[in-house]
Amino acid sequence: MIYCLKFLIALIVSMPLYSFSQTFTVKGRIIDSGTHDNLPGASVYVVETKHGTASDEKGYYFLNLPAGNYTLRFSYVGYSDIELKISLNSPLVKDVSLQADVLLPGAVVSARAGDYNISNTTMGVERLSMKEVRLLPAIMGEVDILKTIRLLPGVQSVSETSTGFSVRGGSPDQNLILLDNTTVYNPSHLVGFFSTFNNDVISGIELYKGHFPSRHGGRLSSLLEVQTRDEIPHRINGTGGIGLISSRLMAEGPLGQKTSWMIAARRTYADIFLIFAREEDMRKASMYFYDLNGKLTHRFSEKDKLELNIYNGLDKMASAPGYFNYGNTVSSLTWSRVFSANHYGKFSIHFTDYSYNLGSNLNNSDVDWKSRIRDWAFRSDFHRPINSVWNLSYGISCTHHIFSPGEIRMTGLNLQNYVIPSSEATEYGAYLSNEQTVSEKLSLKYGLRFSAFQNSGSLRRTYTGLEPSLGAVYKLTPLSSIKANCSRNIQYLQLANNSSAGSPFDVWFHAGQKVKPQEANVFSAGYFHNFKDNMYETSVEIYYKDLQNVIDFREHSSLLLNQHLEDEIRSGTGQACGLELMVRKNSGRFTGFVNYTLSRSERTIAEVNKGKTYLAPYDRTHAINVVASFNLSSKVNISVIWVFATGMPCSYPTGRFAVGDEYFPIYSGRNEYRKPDYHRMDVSLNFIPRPKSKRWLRGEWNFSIYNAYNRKNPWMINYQQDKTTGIPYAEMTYMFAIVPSITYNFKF
Amino acid sequence: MNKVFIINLLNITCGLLTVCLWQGCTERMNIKTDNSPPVIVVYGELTDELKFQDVMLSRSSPYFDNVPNRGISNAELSVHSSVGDVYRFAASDSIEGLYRSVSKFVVAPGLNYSLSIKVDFDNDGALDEYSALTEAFPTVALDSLKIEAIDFFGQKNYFLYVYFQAPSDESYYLFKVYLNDSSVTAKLTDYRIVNDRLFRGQYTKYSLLRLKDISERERDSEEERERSVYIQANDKIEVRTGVIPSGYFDFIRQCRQEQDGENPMFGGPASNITTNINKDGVGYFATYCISRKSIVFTGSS
Repeated sequence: MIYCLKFLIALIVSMPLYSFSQTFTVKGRIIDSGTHDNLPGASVYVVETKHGTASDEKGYYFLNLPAGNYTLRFSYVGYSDIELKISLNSPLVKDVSLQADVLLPGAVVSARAGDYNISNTTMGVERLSMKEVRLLPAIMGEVDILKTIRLLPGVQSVSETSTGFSVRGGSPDQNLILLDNTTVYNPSHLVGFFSTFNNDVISGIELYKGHFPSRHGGRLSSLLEVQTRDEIPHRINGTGGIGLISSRLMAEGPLGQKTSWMIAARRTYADIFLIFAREEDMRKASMYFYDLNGKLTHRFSEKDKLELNIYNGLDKMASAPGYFNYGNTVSSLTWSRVFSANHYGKFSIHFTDYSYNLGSNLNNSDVDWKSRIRDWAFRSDFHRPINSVWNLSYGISCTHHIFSPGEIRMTGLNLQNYVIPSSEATEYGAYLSNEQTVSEKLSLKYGLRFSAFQNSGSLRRTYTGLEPSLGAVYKLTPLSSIKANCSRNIQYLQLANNSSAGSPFDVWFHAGQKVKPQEANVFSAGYFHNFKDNMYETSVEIYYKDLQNVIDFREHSSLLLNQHLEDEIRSGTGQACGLELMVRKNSGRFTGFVNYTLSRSERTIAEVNKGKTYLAPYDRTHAINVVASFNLSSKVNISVIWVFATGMPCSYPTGRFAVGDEYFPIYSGRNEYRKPDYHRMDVSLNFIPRPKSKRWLRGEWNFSIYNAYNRKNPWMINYQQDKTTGIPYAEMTYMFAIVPSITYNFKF
Repeated sequence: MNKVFIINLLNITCGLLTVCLWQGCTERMNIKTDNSPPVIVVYGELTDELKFQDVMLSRSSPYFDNVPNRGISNAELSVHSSVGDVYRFAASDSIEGLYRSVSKFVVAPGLNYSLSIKVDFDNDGALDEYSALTEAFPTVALDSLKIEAIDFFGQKNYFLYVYFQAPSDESYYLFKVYLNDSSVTAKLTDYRIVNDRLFRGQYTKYSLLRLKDISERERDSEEERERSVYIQANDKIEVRTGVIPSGYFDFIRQCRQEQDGENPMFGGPASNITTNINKDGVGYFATYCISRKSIVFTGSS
């Protein structure tokens, strides 16, 4: 890492040696001509210079070119290319609308430019557009975006019922999940069956598997950026869906010339059927979740834009005498300002709140338990694309965390309230990064992030850290390249939850006197090769992660409502390494991808497993994902998913002891065994009755079968004693057999 | 935190979730593991009741072994108090592995007790020595019991409450409940335990056990009947309580957690149950003093 830092400093020092010529900026936004969706990762290719760039997550692109005449080719897989001739003698703004290929409604498997994987300097970046997500098989009528990313190489599910995911052997709390740049601490509904992200609101997602853009930090394993729609609708339009257990509706429209709005809602309605229950208590029960999204955008001028984003979601389950609620509120206010043709910035404030609350009311004895985490954040980010040498990004951020780990209020029990004092902490970040084209073949991206963390209270502790990153891509041919990345990540917050499936009972806690920040040095390298004009993509990536101060919990730890949580923490070292292979077909009637991951992730913590190295909970030796989509006609598309993963590590009982008639287990070492391998096939059929319909309401059907061959994948393994003999046996619980579903999606 | 209290609350929540969420299916499965070598298993609870005290010795066995665990009958076993008293135990002729004190005795509050075992456990001709150390705490006097009727998911149920003044020192409580002199918390995993974090030093009303009205028995499934306690008018309910060492509290709590295996949503990684038996032994040797209180159920709340 020191070499990485030295190289970075040498590069920055040497940059002034480059000579500059008179260059001008060409910039603009690339969108879908029909839906006005952003097209992130769309390719902008300058025919004369044989150079290009790709649009960012909002569909914006920037190019710096010497004065002259050029031909720009805009392309995006599944869309028709557009070529524009420009004469450049001053900065130019050029927005482009690409036309989706009508004959291939399901052709988009990769939401990126044709050669994005070859030319992008950052490794381990995965993008998915909602167009491709919507074609995938649904479970209970919903295609879940967080479950979809498990199909990407190096990403594993935590559990079949959880939206939590593990990236390259890391734990779920090592993933930073952002909704329009605001942290979402628990992106799950129904304890993990669904994510908090309503598909109709999302324009796309971007997953960074270890090498984050310098503007973000605070997690070790991954950054998942979820972007909401950012279109400028010319009239009121919307989308929606009616499923078996939930329905959703999104509408957006203009409000005058300069303002646009978007609102969306989703709700489950399984509880409606409770009115038919025999028992009165069940008839009075509540059981639902909802999501509300809102967005208001006002453009003061060509240069100034103000965006307000609000999300609120809640799970509510209540049946006398108990109740349980949990949910997120996420909001942000962002002012975007174009200072000049090659200098723009964003200033934003963010608020996020995750809380849960459960309790009971029995015989006038009330118990009410609450837990909560809140963040207030401010950040400003600037982008200054000057020329091929200086394409700078820089900014600062400040996040104030307020932790309320838990309090129990009790009445009628002669017991005093139990309150764990709240704590507060502030996280600061400042970064500078540059993306530099060294030559036609070599491009570099390097950056440095400085982070600081300080908790408040009597046990005040301040931590600081430098997080350098360096990425290089060397184009061997126009269709092949080699890449290498290294970076250092620091994590100051962690989740006190050691359940294998994740749960809503999240308690986040911060670094402090006894808990040092977790650190990771991440290295990766890869070879990327496309074929047939980028119709086929192939890649081989290897990675290695060295983890310091990685945490686990003492055996039989007590993590809920614990005033002395730090005493339950054990920290040590870890490492993870892996090989990821990917073959992808991007266009044609038949599209899809196959990826394979070979990996290992280990932990060594002195007071866990008697100090012996053990497998990390989410280690999977082999993982294979197959996604295939076939357009039978312009009306019918069939998609198939097959996933395989080595069983999760676990500890099995190797012995037993008796007390009375009861047997108790004596376990093997930590994670010495594995559960049975996981595999499953899902199929879906998408039917568009009138693909060229001009009616105001256009609909399509999605018929899905989850777990088509009825694989019984164990979710939980329990031990029972035979009622007759008293001898113990193992029993597995599997959550899903074959699950068919049907959804009607529409847009207007 | 008061783990049992949380578990009770979680039980309500889990019940909600179970009702609300997809009902999973279960089936038996075969697991192949290496077998851990046998270790000595010790379990004994000595109390301040004047009686012949018992300690059980046995061997551990492979988890999926088809024969019950065997007792150990060739050991020398004695208990030593911190004031020099020595109590000898003799192997029972009728129950393999049961060791009964040769004379009646009581444990005294405030004293430490050590258990000494000598046995050729590995059959190598040499005696292997094991020991365990524990402490007897003074008990807490129960003030009263109360049975309150509740409507629990449409059923006629009752809560059994105990009232007592909790001492100001950190304490861990064990409760055992008897219905008409027959234990309804006979199994280790049925023991009621609680720590005092929520009520240290306070006069306390603690919800100990949910009981069902006898009229509900007909409606309940056989499985539900097995795990329920039914009461009717004139039943006598007795509660025996003691203050136990924190290690014994952890042992009981962990036995309850680990007995059934994993709980993916609310449990942590599978871990071995802690013990106060030295070397590789498992189980627990505990002492405590008992106080009792009883109530006759009148048939109304």
